[in-house]
Amino acid sequence: MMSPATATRDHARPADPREEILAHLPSLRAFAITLCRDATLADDLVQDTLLKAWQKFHLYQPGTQLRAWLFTILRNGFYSGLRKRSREVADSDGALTDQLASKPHHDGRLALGELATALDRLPTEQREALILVGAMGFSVDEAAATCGCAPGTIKSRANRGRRALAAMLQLDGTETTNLSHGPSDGVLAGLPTQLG
Amino acid sequence: MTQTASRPPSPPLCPPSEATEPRRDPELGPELGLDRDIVRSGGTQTKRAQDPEARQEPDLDPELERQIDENLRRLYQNRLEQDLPDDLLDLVAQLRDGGDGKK
Repeated sequence: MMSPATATRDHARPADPREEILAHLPSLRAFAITLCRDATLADDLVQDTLLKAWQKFHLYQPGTQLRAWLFTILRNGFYSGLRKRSREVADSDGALTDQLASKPHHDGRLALGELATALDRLPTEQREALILVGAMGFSVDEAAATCGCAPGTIKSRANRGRRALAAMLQLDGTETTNLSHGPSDGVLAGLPTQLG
Repeated sequence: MTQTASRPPSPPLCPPSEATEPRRDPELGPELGLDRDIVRSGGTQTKRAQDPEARQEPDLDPELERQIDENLRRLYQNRLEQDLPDDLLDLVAQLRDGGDGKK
């Protein structure tokens, strides 16, 4: 894997402040996959985001959060694309529903593949709030800035998303779900990213 | 003088439940839709933080919430560790070499 650090150390040249953008590419791509539910669409979205950010970097205000700026651009691109296509990437064929038709077999741990599938079923705004705050460690304020809404809205969306996930995965907190066990990684690794 | 001008219209993607919030979705703005006020580091929008919808929601079991978040982090980490696609790396190289990224 080529790390962002590697990407920024290839050549000795005067520091370009835009190089800082590159450090965020992996996280931008991970977020894009979550939004798009399609790796190809996500890659296109990240490329568009990188191009816009690189070319419009003069609009970025030093001292503000570059990460939030970049994620806002990506998010804008995602929703613009949705509007252009005039359709939501939905579970129209029921494929996701079928995958979740039966209660997951936990055997002491939650399969991450099941979580990924359930996450993809959430409304986009809940999905992005959960990933930003729950997974990526954005503060509620930063996530709110990224999504252009109030912090309370982010909290609300994240809470609704968690409860929806718990319902879909039939988790009630009474059984132990050891979520840090390795075997489910194999399931996740083989999970197709194109689920929409 | 009225204060109606201080509240911009809600964006079209805003769900009805959030239609009354004073959102400023940057997607609708010019220049990449970036709203410096909300992107600024440390901005809290504390006056907008009250969300009746959130207050009405029952809390999830804290342990279950922790477990879900932990799984989400693992899911995100898995995606984070994926190789960047060659097309993206090519674009990075083009931009760093002074190109405009257009093929």
